[in-house]
Amino acid sequence: MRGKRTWSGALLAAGAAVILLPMLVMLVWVFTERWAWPALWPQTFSLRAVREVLHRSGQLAAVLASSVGISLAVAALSVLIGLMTARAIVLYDFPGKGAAAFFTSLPLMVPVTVFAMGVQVTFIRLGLNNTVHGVIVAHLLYSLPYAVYLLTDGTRALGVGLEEQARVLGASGLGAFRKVTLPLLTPVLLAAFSMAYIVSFSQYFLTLLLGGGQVKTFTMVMVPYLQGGERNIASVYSAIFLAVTFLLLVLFEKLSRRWMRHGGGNFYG
Amino acid sequence: MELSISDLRVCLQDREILHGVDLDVADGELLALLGQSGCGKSTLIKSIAGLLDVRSGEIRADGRSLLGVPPERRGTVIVFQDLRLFPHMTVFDNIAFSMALKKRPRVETAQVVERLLEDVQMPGYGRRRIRELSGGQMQRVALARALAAEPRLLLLDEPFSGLNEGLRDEMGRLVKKLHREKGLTTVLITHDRQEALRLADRVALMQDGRILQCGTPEEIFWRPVSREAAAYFGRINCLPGRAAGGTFSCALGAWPCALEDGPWTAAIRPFDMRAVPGGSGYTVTGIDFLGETAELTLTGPAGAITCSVTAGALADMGLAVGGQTGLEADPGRAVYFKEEART
Repeated sequence: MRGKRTWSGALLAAGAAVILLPMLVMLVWVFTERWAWPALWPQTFSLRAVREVLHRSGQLAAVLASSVGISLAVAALSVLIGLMTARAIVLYDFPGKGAAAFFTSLPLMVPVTVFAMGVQVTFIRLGLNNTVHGVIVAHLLYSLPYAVYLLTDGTRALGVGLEEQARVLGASGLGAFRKVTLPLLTPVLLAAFSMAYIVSFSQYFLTLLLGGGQVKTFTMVMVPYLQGGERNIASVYSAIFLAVTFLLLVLFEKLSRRWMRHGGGNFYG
Repeated sequence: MELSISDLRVCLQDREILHGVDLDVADGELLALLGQSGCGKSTLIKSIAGLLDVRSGEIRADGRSLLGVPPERRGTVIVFQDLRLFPHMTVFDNIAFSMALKKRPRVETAQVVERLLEDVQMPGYGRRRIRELSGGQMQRVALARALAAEPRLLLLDEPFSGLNEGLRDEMGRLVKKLHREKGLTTVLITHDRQEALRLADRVALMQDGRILQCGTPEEIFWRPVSREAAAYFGRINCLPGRAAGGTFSCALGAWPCALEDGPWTAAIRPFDMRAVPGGSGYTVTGIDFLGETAELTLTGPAGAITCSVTAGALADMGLAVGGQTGLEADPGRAVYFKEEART
């Protein structure tokens, strides 16, 4: 018993270290001017990188706004389309259902570079390339499989029983969905929303290729610094990226708590 | 509501579950739908409530067709076997669900919910959460919620099957009492024959997607229309024999009957068989002591015959396994089935 606990503790610590150590190194880099190999600790500290980024705070705010905006739109659309797809797959019978369910995860099986090329060719034909909505659609294609996956599981676990009960008690189809399914599915909706948001927010290659440099998101601004060896500036951006994501996820969680005050939410319980 | 179903066929996933069901339920009647699991009882009431698509046939309420009417406008409320209480709502909100949909005034809703909670003997439970309730309490809440919707037809899908015997009886009595007080047309699904006989005005016996027989509990018990229908109410002894000139003769003797000549089988229930101590011809090959009653298995010229006796009678007879006894049947209680020509 004791040995087991020690082991799980060690595993937990190792897991946390794998995530936290790089983050700490990144935070150190924010204030580093020179950190040459093989030194274990930076030779020179400075606030130059922070100042440089803050100096362009107007641009930073604009990029942040467009980034968050795009990702929120992607997340919202993912949840909407994902929910409809999940319900179609779980609750209805139609010819070719198995194939349709399988193809929803296709974007995850095709390498992103191959996928992006194909999407780009199609988008150029449709006139969607280099536009914000084009980028949203591209991100959507990539985040939808996660949303569909989560929502299919959630819809299956919830089943059709409670909606049937609501119907015979006098609720219309939409009413039964709104009053029963929606509140009970909130935790899963939130998970799908967060997942889609993160997939979109951290997307680089798709944005680069389909936005054509016209659509500026956070990663678009950050990656050149990383590649140009200005690691401290890249780290400042990373720190902001992290903070924004963290704050938004906390916000989603808080909002869902408000919704869930009714005492449901023992969905996974 | 007067319900009339004719030649109803329903398919689930391309398999026909109901093969032409005919059933009438009179206004204010409590009908028990009795059958083994998988015979299509649940499919039938889901079809009545509009939750399943009907392939062919007709469902009428007070003469008007229900086909194509969405479930929420049929006035048929189901209490499901798994109860399906809304876990994100309190007891009050569950019961008030249908009233909230109808936008009833809050005060009226509160009064109705309080009264219904009293009806199901759970006063003051309105604020409880569903997960805080016991199984029996959940059943009552589900019943109260269904009643709050003021159904024209109440459909109960084995709602007591998860309960222990005492609670089952109590819930059965509660349903019967509520049914009597409110005059609500009710269809109760059950696989428990005693529950069906005790509670229902009429019993419909269902098997393999068809109604075998429908009648009062006495009719169903005493005058089964087929061997299957007879067998549903416990073991029955089948005695093959012949009718000739108004006399039926079989291995247990001959007695007058009103049958046309030919091969018939007489079905006689174990309680209408009498072991005659001191007689001969039959060997006691088994005694199952069940408490108030006992079942004797007597083997002889008519094969293995089951004979039920009260525990007291068994003690008086002084029979033991291996002993000899005589056997008599009560011909007045026999039901006859025509032997089909076997190919």
